[in-house]
Amino acid sequence: MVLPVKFRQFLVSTGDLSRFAGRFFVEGAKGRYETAEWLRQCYEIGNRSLPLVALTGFIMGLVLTMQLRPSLLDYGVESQLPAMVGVAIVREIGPVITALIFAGKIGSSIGAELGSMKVTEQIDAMEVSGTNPFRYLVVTRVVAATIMLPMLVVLSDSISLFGAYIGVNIRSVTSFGLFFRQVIDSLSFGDVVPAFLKTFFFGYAVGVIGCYKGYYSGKGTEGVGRAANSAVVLSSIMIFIIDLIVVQVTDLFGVN
Amino acid sequence: MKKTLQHLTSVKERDLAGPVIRVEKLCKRFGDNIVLKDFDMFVAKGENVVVLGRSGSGKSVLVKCVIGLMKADGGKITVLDEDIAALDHAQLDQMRARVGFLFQSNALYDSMTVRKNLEFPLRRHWIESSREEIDTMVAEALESVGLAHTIDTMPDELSGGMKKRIALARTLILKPEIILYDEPTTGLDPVTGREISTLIMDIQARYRTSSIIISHDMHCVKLTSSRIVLLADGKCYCSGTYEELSRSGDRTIQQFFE
Repeated sequence: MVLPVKFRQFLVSTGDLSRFAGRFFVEGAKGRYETAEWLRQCYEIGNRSLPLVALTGFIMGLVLTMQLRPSLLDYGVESQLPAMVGVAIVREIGPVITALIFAGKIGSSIGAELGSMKVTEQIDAMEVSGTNPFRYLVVTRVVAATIMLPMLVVLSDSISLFGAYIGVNIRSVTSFGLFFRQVIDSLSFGDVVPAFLKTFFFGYAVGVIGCYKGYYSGKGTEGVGRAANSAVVLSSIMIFIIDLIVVQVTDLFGVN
Repeated sequence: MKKTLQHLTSVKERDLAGPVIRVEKLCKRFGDNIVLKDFDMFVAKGENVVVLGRSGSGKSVLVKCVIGLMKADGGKITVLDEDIAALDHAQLDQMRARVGFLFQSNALYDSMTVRKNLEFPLRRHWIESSREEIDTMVAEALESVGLAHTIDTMPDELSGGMKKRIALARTLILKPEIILYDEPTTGLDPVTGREISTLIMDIQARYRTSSIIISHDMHCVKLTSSRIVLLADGKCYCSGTYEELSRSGDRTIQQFFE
């Protein structure tokens, strides 16, 4: 049976990406850690995303509350607004929206940075200088993305909930203490832990895909642009796929 | 098939003691495109060998194979008595500390200052040095290319010629025995190109390096070459001094000198 060319290309690139993702563990397990570069990447990746994540988190919480209020009013359960908003933000909206913003901001910048380093022979220059470019460029960025995204999600969730508190208080009066007590009371282990753990996978996926696209980008400025663009597209799709798998797995184990 | 004109050269390998680079029957292909086919050349100690050839003839591929950035499909490359194909990663790194490479695009790390760019190979090759020694080495390398004042600038603040000099300073900082120059004057105006060519000669005189220089720039070729190797159809078409080749009546050779 002859497979269609596009499908064959898809299988080949999936295989290449999987090998690249696996090589991260092999190279990462070897000694000589690039600690200084890793710390620099943590700062760059975390710091660069912070304002955008904070702003979108705040707006997300505020808008979600304002959109939910009329429906809850219709059913006469307006008092459940903090609990509903809290569960929605912590379980799904916070991690996924933050991860998508992270993919747009960091995935594209990693893809473009490594792509331009490839085009200008900087990766070759590193190799000639006695450096393993995979360990120096890829391992540091992937680890930084894997660690920084969960931190950003925690921050984004907190700011979102604050936005929701403002949203609740636009039409009614609820104290800060009461709002957060209701939110926390409505959250269980199954809401918080799987939602937090999946963000590590999101971060890893964004890091690996950004690095893969940049590391193997085509020649010239067009290749760099395409690497950045496809890093965002593929990372976003991968975030939804991981989300789907995590929901299925948690459902299977009855954690939901 | 074209006849190779090896007889042109007055310099024979047997006349020279211990070549620092020897390339034997090198083959390299990309898919169906055969770039190098049984290519032979050598570089004797202290020699500047210019590799001349048309665009896409495989000159850059040749030097990348010599430094181990690309794997040859066949043949043997010996650098400083080491067979490149037989070296593991650590041994290859040790060998690379003795061989400098000047990239066509300079390959300066644009997120680092000039100082950090120059310190990078020193730190990566685990050169045991104090802060003061590293500072002295960086200052020396920058002075040797006449750009000591640029130490704290970023690469994008420098002109094309200055970037090339800084890249050369980075290549020199490990005091290599061999330097591979990949089109050192490409993209530069004729005056800056001449300055870089003169700098290459100064470096050879000062550090007694041996070099392979990839170039199309005939001013650079004339100024820097001890010997020229003409690469055509993936093979060593001929080899000889600038004077020998420029006097040749062969059409393939003459088109470079017109």
